[in-house]
Amino acid sequence: MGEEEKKSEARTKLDSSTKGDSQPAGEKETAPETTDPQAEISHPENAAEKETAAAPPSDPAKTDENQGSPEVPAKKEENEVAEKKGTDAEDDPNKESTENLLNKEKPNQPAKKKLSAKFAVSALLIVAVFSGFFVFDNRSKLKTIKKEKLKVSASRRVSLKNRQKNQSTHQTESSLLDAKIREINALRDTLLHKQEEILELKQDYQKGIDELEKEISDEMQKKGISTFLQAMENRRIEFGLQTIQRRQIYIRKLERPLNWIFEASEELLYIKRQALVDLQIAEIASGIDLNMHMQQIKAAAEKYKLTADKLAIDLADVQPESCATIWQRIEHSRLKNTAAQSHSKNQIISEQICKGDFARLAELTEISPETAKCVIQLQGSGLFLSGLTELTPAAARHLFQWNGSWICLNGLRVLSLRAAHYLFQWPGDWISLNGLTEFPAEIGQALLQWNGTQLELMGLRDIEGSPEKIGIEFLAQWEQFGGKLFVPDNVRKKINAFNREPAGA
Amino acid sequence: MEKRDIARSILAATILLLSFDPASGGSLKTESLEQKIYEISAVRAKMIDKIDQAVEIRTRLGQRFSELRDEIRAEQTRCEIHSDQQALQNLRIRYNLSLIRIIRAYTDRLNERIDFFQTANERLRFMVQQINDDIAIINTLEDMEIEKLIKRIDRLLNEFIPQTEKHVFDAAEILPVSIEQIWNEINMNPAEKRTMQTDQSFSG
Repeated sequence: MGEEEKKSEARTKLDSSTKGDSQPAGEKETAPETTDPQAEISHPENAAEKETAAAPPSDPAKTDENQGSPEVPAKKEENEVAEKKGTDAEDDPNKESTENLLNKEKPNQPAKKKLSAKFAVSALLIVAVFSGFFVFDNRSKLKTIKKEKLKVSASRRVSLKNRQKNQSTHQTESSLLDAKIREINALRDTLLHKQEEILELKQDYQKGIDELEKEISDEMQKKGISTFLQAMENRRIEFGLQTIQRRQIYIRKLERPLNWIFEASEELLYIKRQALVDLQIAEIASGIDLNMHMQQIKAAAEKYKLTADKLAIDLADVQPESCATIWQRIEHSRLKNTAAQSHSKNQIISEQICKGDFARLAELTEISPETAKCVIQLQGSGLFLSGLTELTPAAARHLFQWNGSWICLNGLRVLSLRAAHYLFQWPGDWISLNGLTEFPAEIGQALLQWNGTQLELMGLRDIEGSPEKIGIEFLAQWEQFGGKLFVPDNVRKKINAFNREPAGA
Repeated sequence: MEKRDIARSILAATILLLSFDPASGGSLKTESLEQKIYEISAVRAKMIDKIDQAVEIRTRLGQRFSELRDEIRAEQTRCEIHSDQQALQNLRIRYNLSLIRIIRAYTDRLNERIDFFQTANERLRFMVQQINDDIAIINTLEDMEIEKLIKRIDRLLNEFIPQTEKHVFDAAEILPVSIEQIWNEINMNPAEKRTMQTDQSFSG
């Protein structure tokens, strides 16, 4: 067959196939490319055809027709033909090979260009659509993420702020509660300290009772008292028994403030511990009302504030133990302990002194003439009797026969004239009487008899309007005779002023 | 003017507050009680002096009594006096009995006064103990009702201070017993017993 015959035959085939086929061109063209790769392998000519179809149209006139409207039906027809060709080619390889042959034999450049342009445009569109969708999708996603991020960060910020706010509120409450806890802690310490003081006071009273019982026992033995009636005729024993009665009442009555303090300290401890527990828990738990604790502590602190009225003892309606019962107990104890007599402190020390043991000399609170006689046996330069609160002239008469240079009697509050008379006849150098607050003229006159060198009177109280309490003129005179006085500043000024005044002024 | 008034009000309020402060009230009470201790101590010192003085005089009187009694006995022996009438007619014996009568009256009165001062001294000593006990309570409990105690102390001081400011006794108040009674006592030798009793009380 010749070339012209083949072309006409192909045309005829094409026309006949176009009449009965309405399938879209695009689908038919693309189908072999994508759906049947085997077709490419088995029919290499098909690939060539495809290449041709995919190539852009080379004829601009045809392209214009394709784009322009009047020629669209014709173009559609062509497309349809082309599509048909593709479809047919799939269905019938012989047909395809014929067409390919026809294409090869007669290449249509403008159609190719058209096709390639179509592909390019559609590809671009697809790419644009995809990229647009992608971009839009990404953007919307980004926006959502951003929004979510913002939301999260905002919520975080709010929660952080809330947390910080809660934390700072919690911290403020905690520190306030801490301060309150410290406050009740201090209050409890004060109460416990007071409790100690009261217990010590009770012990002191009990010691006082024990000592008085021994003194009474000593007195009974000394005076040969064996009945209660005899005992009540002795004033020292009578008042001693009354003192025991009173101290027993005080001891009993001190139980009330002690109980109050005990209850208060226990409740305060409970409140403190409760608050501490909740304070710890409040760091990790909600629903802890620290404010409630503060109120509770405040109320407790107010309730247990240490005031005199809360500690007060009521001495009305007291029923003391009878003097007869107390006396019987002392007598029973005295008779029971005859072998190992338990004497009063002064009695024991006196006995020690008279045996030559002067170690507890300073503890004596009273001194009898007999003990004073023993004291003068002391060898040494200083005699320290600072525990003595009173000195009878009878004891002074013996005591100031002691040979030494310094006598210390700082416990004496008052010096009687007769005791002073004996004291200022003492041949020593130095006397300390710093417990005296007054030094009246008659004592001052007695001082002028003394040949000693130093006198301490640092306790003197110069009260305005009571010049009779201190005999300034006698003190000044004694200094003029060569003595050295140790007195408070205000008394010193008066003595100096007196010494500066001309004689007889 | 307003500022000054405000300042005055504040000052007055402060003073009121301070005056109602239990602690300051407690210290004021302690101070007043300590002052009472001092007052009591001063009275006691005078009393102890009075007792000492009275005991000293009583001892001297006891010695004088012994001398007079011994002289009566010597005179009785020397003049061989056996009846009461003879004795009372002897001038030395009569005068000695008269002196002994006075000495006896003085000694009796001194004994009364010594007993009074000793009781007063013990009572005041007891008060000092109570004051010290109460001061301890005030120092510990910050307060205590002390008005009654102060009243008791003041009552006692009012009773005892005048006694310390005057002589131990007034000689015009003494009431000597009759010479016959003294003679009977000496003759029956009861004076020795009395002297012994008196000596015992002198040492106290």
